[in-house]
Amino acid sequence: MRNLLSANFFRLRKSALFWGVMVLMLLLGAGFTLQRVWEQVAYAEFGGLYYIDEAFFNYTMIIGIVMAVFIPLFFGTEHSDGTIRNKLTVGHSRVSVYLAHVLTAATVALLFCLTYILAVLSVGVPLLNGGIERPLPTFLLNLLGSLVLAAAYSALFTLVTLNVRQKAISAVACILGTLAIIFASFYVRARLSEPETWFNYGTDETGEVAMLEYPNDRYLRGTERAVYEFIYDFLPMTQSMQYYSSYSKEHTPQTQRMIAYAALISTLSTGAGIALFRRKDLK
Amino acid sequence: MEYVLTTQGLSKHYKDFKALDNLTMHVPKGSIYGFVGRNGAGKTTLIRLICGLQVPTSGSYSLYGVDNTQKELSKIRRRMGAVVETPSIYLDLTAQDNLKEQFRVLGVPSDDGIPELLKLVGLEATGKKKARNFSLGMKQRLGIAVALAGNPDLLVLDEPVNGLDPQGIIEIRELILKLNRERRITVLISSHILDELSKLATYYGFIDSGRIVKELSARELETACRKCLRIEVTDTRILARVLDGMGVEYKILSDGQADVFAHLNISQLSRALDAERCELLSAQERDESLESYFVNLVGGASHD
Repeated sequence: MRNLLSANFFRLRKSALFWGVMVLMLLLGAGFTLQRVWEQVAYAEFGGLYYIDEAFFNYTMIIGIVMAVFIPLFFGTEHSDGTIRNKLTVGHSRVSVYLAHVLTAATVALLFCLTYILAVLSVGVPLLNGGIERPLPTFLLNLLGSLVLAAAYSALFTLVTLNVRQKAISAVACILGTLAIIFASFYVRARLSEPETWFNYGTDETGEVAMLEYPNDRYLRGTERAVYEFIYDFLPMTQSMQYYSSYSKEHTPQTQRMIAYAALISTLSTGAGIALFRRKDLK
Repeated sequence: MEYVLTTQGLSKHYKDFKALDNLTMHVPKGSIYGFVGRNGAGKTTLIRLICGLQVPTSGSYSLYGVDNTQKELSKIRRRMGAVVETPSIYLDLTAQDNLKEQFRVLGVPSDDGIPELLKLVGLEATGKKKARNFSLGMKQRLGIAVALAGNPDLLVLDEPVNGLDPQGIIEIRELILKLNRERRITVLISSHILDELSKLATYYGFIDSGRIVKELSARELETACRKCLRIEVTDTRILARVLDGMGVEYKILSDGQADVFAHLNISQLSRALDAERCELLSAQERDESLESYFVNLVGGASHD
């Protein structure tokens, strides 16, 4: 497998797509942080502290979409150009080929994230006045969780790309799948954010018009709430949302649980991907 | 005879369709094995199986004596290179980078062999040109170079001249001959362009409906396809005596038929036979090409 990894990284070094995304992540990291710097300057008269955290975890929202595009385009050529045959014909096992792709994809995801982080730190550390808001252990745990999440995205999209022969179809499947998960994630988040009660004008016992508290029918309770909360911690995109908004004191993500779920997603999707890929008739 | 590849009752079914049906074949070491068959006969399916891209439904094959069920086969595969259908190359890489990539896949410690390989396939001057800008012939040659990266003893080529212009066909033919003669590489080459195949192959396997119909050497085929005069007479024993007297080569096919491999004076033969009370019923010149041999072999008939 070392040979396969070496070959994958060689091709990565030669890939314009890879370097293009690296530059994009650099620009996005710098851009989001400069926006905070601009706010710091614009609202200087009000004082206040501007933290690195507020731009730092934005990449968790971007990385899913970036990998949904990158993996089918980069690894999809193995099927479309038929180059996967060069690996199998000379005796590499399908498991080795698959694992080499998963590891390469995860490394790529980490490199994209680290490039973004590097840009945020390069701009944020010298220019933002607040530094890091969260306690360092929490910050580092969130960082670790977000990187495990990036690896989970890679494992999921590798599963699709190596098991769908047509590059265009795998690209569309990954992108549409990601969009579907994004919409599902927003829905789950919206349902969980429903207040338990709501207020409206009504007539009280005395017959006076007053602001009254009513129970919210859309508020999730019992098992249903537990299921939604599980989905909220489990789905990659809802995890992204939680890391993204984790700078806010209202959101305290269950980071350890999410790390476990992301690791589970990586393991299950890699296992399923290998099982499918081993049985696949290649052309 | 030593064989690099043999198959035993190999079958591959896709749902109800039998792409390969109990196929048995033998590829002799050092040969250029022409694998002949119509489109859809099962040529590419067989190549996919032996390259490990697909798994047989039943039956087995062995490479260099190692069965496909044995674990050691993955090591043996290192001794083969293949171009299946289209050349397997990264279009966004140069010829040199494609070879560097394959050297890494194979774990070749140094890239020193790349210029020689590029020269062998005539792509030494392509420089920074990306493979996507290559002609079809250049892509095909690069595909062969990639297949040769591991110094294989067996090269499997599936329809290598498909879609090439005459110049491209000649280049590929010369390359295959060079690899076989100079590097002693056994070549399994599938094609339905029989005329082209006849310029290369030293051994033939004819496939139809997923089965090998006939395997024979080029020499045997040449004999079978030799230009001759097919003569029909009332008694071939008398014909044999007369032909012996004339000192010509012949082959008795039945009591009434024989093939004569010489230019004969028919009147003289007729008179000689007449004198022995044997009638000359018909004489027909036969010139069977590989194409007509193939048509006669598989021509529309079922081989079930």
